[in-house]
Amino acid sequence: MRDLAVAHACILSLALLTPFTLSPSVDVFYAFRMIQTALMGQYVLLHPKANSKFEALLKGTPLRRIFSCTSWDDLKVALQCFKHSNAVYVRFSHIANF
Amino acid sequence: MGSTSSFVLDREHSRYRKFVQVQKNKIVLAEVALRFWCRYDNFWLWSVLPIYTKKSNFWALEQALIQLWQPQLNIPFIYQFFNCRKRLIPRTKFSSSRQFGTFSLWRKLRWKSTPAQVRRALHSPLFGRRVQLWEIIQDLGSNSVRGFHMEKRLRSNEIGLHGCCFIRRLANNLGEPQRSYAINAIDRALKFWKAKRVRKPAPLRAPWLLAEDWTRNLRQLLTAHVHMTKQYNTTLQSPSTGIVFTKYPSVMDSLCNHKDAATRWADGETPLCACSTLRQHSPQPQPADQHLVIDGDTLRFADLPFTSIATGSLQNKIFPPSKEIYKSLRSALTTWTTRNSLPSLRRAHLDDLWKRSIQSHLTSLQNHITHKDIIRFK
Repeated sequence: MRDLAVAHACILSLALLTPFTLSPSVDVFYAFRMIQTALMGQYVLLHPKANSKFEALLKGTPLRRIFSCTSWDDLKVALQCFKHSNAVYVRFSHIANF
Repeated sequence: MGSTSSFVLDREHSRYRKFVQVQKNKIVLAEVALRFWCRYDNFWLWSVLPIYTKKSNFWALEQALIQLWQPQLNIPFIYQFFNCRKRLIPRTKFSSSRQFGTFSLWRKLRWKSTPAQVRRALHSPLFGRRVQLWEIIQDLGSNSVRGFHMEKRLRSNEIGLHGCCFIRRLANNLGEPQRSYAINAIDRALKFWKAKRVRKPAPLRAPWLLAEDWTRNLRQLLTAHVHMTKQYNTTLQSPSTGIVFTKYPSVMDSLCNHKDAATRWADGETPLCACSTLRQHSPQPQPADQHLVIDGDTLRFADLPFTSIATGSLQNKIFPPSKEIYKSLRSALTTWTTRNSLPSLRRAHLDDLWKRSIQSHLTSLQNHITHKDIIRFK
């Protein structure tokens, strides 16, 4: 639960900081959003009272490897899917009662 | 749920720019979800996850996924609880048995899912066919050589008449101008198949009555007719059971017909002044050589309807004779059945409703002004 609290704090900090990453460089904005996705996904998957339907959706989608990386290299490769064209995406939040 | 021909992060950046425009109250064309995030200031608490990449049919995939998962922030599902003008629409309260009884267990069972089930659904032939249908619609709405070839396929036995009807209903979900292109192409194919013309559902434009539960009874009649003639609904277009009541002429329309007066004057007829007639109904003596300028409330008449006309609002409506109302109701129902591509309504059903309603209407219509009263008043 402590890890989850830390992850939640990180997500909120990123959410607060993201607007400030826009003007200097687009790449910084991209990096922030990718990290936020990985953190939010992990939070949903690790939370004991997570929305089971959403959890199944995250685990069942074709690009689920983002959340099952074992090393930084794996994560780096997995995050490349954010840079592929002709994409279909889902927008999600780690907060269950939205 | 969304799709992009560019990459996900680029789309995310463009959404941010649009979000800023919405925040600044600029008049922009933005999705309803962006307005929802702007209203509750939680755009940054939502993150994007790519589901498919490098797919040429990304738009069709997006539409099929929306159909499959029905995400609440996508159109049309967002309209259930959020309206740009009214903001958050409160949820309809369920009864306690529906909220906590077996119904809730059914809901939980229905929505129970596992990663394996999600994967199976995405690889199922049903999902594949849905994607293919959206691809067909996308091609038809593209106004390109692909649209031309797809239109040829609509005229083949591969898709057929029923397929065309089904695709037409689905094409209503497209945005303009693709929707017009797609619907025109499908209509041409339907003409080729000599099928029934698909029309836009039109509400019933009926006369209004004072009868109790007139609207409810009329809607019941329409709904019953739609259900009884379901087998004739080959176009798969749901007929409209909406009712729009037509306006009756007001006292103003009947009393002060300026057009009629102008025509008479143009024909050389001298307009008659009504002051001499009205002077006798005024309780206070008025100068005989001047026109009357008095309040309608001060006039006194022996007949009650005349007093009502003089003292009431000129915007008061006058009911036409019941024969005329019946005639207009019948013609309205004929127009409604034609416009919604339905068989004619049985006269016995209409007469039954009419007999019940007109009695109630006439009972409530005591001491109301009629057109005859206004003619006499003139």
